[in-house]
Amino acid sequence: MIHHHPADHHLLALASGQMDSGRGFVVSAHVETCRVCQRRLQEFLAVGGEVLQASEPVNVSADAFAQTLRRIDAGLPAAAAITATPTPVGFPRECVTLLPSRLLQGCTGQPWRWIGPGMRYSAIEIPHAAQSNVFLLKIAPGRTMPRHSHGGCEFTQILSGSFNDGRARFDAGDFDETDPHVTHQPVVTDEGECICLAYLDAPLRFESWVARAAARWTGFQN
Amino acid sequence: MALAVDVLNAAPPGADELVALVTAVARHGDRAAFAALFRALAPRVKGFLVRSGADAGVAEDLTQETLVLVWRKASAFDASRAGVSTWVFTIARNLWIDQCRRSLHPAALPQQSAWLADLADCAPANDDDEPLLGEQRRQHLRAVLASLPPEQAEAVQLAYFNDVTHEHIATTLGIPLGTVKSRIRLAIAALRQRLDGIEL
Ligand SMILES: [Zn+2]
Repeated sequence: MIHHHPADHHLLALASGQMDSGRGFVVSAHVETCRVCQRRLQEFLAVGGEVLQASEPVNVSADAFAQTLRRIDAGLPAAAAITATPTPVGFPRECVTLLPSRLLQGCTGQPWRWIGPGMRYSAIEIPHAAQSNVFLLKIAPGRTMPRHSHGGCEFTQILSGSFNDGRARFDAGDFDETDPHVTHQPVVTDEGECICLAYLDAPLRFESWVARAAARWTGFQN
Repeated sequence: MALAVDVLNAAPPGADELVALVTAVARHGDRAAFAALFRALAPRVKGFLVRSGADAGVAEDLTQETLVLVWRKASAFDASRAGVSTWVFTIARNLWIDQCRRSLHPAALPQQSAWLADLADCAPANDDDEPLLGEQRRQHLRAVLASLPPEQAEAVQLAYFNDVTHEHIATTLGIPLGTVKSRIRLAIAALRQRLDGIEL
């Protein structure tokens, strides 16, 4: 049972194509596994259809129809057809099965890297995005993350395990969003390690100098 | 082949008529049906793209591409899962995203366009065959949209266009951009409230 979903305005942004690659990646990872959000997204696509219907018509060129038929007859591939993307490479093995395969197409991962006791991360490169700001986090059972606030917004999709950050408990399938007003300290439950997919558009602000130092050389903080 | 595209005088076909036209294209490669679809859809698609920020040439090109894809993908369209306008919206939207990507347009872009198109085409997301958005729910949605106060309906529409459009509105109305954005959020919340008020 999923308890935490992306806000409607995020689903609308995804439906209307206005969400950047990094955020879109994490929200999509949620939607792929959430029936409730699939339906909401479908509703926003339908609203998009109504918006299209309500658009002020603009006359097409006089020979537009003839040109369109010529394109059809020529059988030319649509110029903007989505080209086949290579299979994902470099991802930690357990994450390949945790993430929907069609989302990973063309993406590049990296092996787990140690960032602190019981904490590992793996950055994700997304095609067409110079800097995706998306990464995977793996935290050992019972481990407490350093207390931090956020310079910007953070999206998290829980892929396995669960944590509690004082605001709520988050289980596999849940989505969480934090902004600069939230300071939290996620504690992974004892039941197992927790793997999350996260997007971060600005560095975390750690309260302790040790975490700050660690973050600086792993790229979590500037 | 000359075609009078007189959008102002043409009575737009209803949702059912659009479905019949797409079905005729899918089953028989019916060019007359396709011409009718073109008349009904092309000027709207172009208007939508212009409002999204496409310049006239790009809007014209992508409108034609959209209709080419309507022709090619007609047999994949399933009326029990989505309306024609929803389907066409996702096609046009995906072409626009790819265009932005190619031209490194500052509007940043998801790579999930392909699977969103699938969602609208629409392969069942789960094994159960129940559509995500059945005809009844779609009718409800149209009724809810029609019942929104005009300013809110306008704000919901605005949500489908980018920051450039929002800034333009803010300047025109002489209000801060933040106010435009919060009006949009409130309108989305009102839409959700009305949508879920009556569960079908
Ligand atoms: Zn959800």
